[in-house]
Amino acid sequence: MTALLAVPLLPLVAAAAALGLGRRLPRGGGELVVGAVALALAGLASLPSDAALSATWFESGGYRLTVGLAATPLTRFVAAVVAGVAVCVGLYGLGYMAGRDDRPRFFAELGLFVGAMLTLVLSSSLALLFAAWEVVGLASFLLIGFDHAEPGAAAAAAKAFLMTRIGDVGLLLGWLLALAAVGTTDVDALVGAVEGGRIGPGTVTAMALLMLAGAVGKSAQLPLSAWLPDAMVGPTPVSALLHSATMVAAGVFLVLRLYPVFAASPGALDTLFWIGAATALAAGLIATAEADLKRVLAWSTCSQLGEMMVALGLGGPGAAAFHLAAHAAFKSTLFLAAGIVQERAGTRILVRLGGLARALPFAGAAFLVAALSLAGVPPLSGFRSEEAILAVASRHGPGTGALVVLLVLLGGIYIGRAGAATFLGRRRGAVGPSGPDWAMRAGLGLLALAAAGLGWLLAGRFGAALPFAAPETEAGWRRLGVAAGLLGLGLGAARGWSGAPALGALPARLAAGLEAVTEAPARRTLWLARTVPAVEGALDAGARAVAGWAWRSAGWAGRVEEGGFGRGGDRLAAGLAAGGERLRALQAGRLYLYTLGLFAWTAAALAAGALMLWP
Amino acid sequence: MTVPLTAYLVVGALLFAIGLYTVVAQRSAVMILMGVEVLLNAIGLNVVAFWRFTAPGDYSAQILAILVVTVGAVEMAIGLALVLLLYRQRRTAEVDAYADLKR
Repeated sequence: MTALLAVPLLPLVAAAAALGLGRRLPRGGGELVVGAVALALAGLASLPSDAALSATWFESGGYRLTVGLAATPLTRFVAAVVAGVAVCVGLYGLGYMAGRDDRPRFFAELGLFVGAMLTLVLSSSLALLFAAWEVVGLASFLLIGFDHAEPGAAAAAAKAFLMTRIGDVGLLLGWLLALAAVGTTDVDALVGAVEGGRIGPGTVTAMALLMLAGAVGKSAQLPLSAWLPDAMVGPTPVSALLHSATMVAAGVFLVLRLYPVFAASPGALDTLFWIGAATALAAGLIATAEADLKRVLAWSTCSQLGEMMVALGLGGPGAAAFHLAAHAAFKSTLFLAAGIVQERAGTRILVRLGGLARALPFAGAAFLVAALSLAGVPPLSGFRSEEAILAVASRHGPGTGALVVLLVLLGGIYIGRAGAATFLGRRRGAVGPSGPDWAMRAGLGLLALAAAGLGWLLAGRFGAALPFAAPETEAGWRRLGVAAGLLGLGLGAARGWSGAPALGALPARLAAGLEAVTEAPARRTLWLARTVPAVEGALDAGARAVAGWAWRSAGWAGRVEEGGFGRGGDRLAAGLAAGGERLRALQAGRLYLYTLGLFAWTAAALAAGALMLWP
Repeated sequence: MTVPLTAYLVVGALLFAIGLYTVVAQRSAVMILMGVEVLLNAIGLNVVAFWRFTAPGDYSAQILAILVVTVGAVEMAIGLALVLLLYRQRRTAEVDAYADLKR
């Protein structure tokens, strides 16, 4: 059981160590974090199949809040994806961050993220899951704003934090509702209660919709998707790990983990489907017009996550989990290749790139593999996973099948355009001299291998590695999907050769409109966030006034003490001293004075006595 | 003729004044002791005079007079011993020189 506990703890410990010792290590603490994550991955592989760990955090009334980890087949699968991608991206990050002074902070935040993400995935308690969910959001905020001196980084970080927070409120209310309905935060208990029909259908639907809000925020689905493209100001390893492969997949994972709850509520499933479909279409369209390479990939991430939501909404959790893994591999490959492009060319704007295939053969080859995988070209990973989604959709009806084919076509178009504009054609800008170092090559190469072979590896192991039944695809749909992907690639490459939008100006206008609409809630949250400091400022001013008044009265008291008591005391002492000086003369040692005094006193006493006794 | 009481009292007062003057005005310790003796004897004269003229039958006043003389002798002995010691130590009998407590 300690191995299970060590899986999320290792990266966290390594993060703390990187923060403390990073300055003295040659790679800035990155080697600690990468090593710890690799160890965690090994520990994950060596776990017994039903490892679980649970404890009661506290009980209150009839409610029992638990904390625990459980390595079910699903959680172990997703945790392996997270740790695997994290190792590769961390390796790449060693080279990417080389020579920077703030590396320890970067790797510490990365380690914090990986530890929290593994906790989130492995958690068997909704309370712990929510806590890890929030820590992951915090890590995302920190890492997006890592280059806080860069223009827009702080604003993008705040935007991402606030927009995901809107969804997180839904998740919080959702698990509190589950706690109220079941009496414990244990996931298995909740699933058992839902499957046993012990919770009313209305409650189940409300719970599912509330949790869906959390998933929508985290996975950047409509209407909370505008933060993800802006998050691309973060360092490239962050974009690859958090904002394509793992953190944004947390929303999909949440639905997967609680799938029985969603499956028990047709309304929630329909909502899931429509949100996913709308996001996938809109984000895919926008990606064909986006001018920035990383933002193309970000919108593509939104679109692919939408595709997973579609699969979930249509009752295909297996396909969604499969696509989650495949997408994690190929999309982080694309991001890492884009990071190398940016480092060499100094820009991510597509119209200034071009013709980089000869200068960057390694990155170009990796990008090609991942792009073909995204477009669903056999036999790469994306082909297998999109085939699985197509199988679910086509079984549901021809309309949904056509939707998925359309999404594959869109994916081909935008990635074909991005790849062609970056690597093919005429070179439109200068290229810097340095090539990627071995660590970057190793991370990118491993991920490219996964992007190529993971699908083949997993497709044969449905039920073992992936705890779901294998979907069956009709040959016709499969051919249609492959044809759509190839057509999209060709179309995108042909139309976007020079970096121009592939489908005209309409998607750009769509993006602008979407931006305006979806930013409204974030703006309101931001307004709220700015109002709180104003109120606090007023309170602060009040407190300062009170403190100032107290200060002044203390000053008065001090002056009274100094002027009144102090000077009075001084005067008294001076008077006593002067009196003593005068009395001193009486004790001068002159015997005749003593004698005279004695007789004078005696005479006075006698005189007084005589006066009094006179009749 | 009999000498009246007033005459004794006048002589006593004169003796007292002489003694007082001696004690106050003299600088020598021996002379001051002399003055004290004169003062004492002025009192003794007064005591005897008052006894003789007011209660001649009561002899307790004579006892008092003898006591005064005795005390005077004893006081003289102690005083002279002190002065002798002081003189040995300081080589002077001037009372103004004995000012050690002033510092």
